[in-house]
Amino acid sequence: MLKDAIRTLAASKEKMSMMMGGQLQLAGVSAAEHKALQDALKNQDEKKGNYTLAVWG
Amino acid sequence: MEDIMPIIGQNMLRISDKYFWAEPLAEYARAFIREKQAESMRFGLLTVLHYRMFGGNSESIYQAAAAVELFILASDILDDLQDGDAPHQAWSQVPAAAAMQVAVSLIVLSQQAILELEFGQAELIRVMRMMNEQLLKAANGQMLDLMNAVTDEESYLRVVQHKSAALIVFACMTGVMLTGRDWHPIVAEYAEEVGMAAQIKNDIRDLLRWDDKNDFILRKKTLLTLFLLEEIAEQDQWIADYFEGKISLADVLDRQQMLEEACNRTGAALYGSVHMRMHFNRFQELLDDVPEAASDKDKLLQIFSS
Repeated sequence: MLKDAIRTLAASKEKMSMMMGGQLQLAGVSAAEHKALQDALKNQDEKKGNYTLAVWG
Repeated sequence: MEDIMPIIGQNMLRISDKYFWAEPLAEYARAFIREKQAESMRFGLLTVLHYRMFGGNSESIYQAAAAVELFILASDILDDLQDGDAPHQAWSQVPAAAAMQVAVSLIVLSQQAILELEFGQAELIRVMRMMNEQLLKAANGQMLDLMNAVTDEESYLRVVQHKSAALIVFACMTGVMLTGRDWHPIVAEYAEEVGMAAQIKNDIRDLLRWDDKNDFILRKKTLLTLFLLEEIAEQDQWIADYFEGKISLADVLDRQQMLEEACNRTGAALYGSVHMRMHFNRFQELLDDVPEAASDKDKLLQIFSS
């Protein structure tokens, strides 16, 4: 489940860096969730390159 | 696309001048339109771009985009008056009763602008029907949001789908349907997805900012605050206590850093970002399924990114 996976990652710097390096497979997380998670982690550090959504409203 | 914004603004002013003569309605409407013009007109740009993507080439589309923006302006005014949290806006600096009257008048003006378009009557009726369906959907979402009716993730997503996504569907579909096409289910779906993504992005900002629009201070239930409250650690109990009204605003005003730290430590901020990305990624996937969008994909992405 995505929530559990995020809580696990947030609690462990080691798992977080493994995730960012693409070396961690998370149980119960769909392919779309996995991709979104990697995108979100990637976008924490870099704002260049791909389009990012602006704040509306 | 940036060069289109002044044209949409001029059309809004022209329509306003045509129908509003009583003061201060005419004066306030002009001032509010100018303020809107200075901010953004992304909804109107979506209407123009979708019209062109689907082969439309009439100049009347600028009036349709103006109608879309007149409605968005009215809804911004009402939203700010309801929340009372935008003192810098022109409509917050005039008597509330007058601002409310301008907003209601702009909604009618928006519909009048659509009815006067130089398109076929059958197309206009279909567009008006679609427009009202989406706007009524947004009205329901707005009321649920106003009443803080969110209790869990499912109800949160329902409110967002109604309140925010319906307006983007309305803007895109107005452009599509004025080309004579029927309702386009994939455009509707991608517009909804990007609308959901945009609202979640707003929610991330509104939890991490520290002013009277902060969702925590307002005790607002969003994807992020629900996540935060779901498995609360002992050290974060004060967050739940504040939401339950056990402690007051004065007790938490100096805890901005603690809240930010809790959002990062628990993964709440990341959870919001992941959901936002999922909707944005789905939007991009769906966009690839619309051949008409292929040549304007970058322009569309630019509107959402600017």
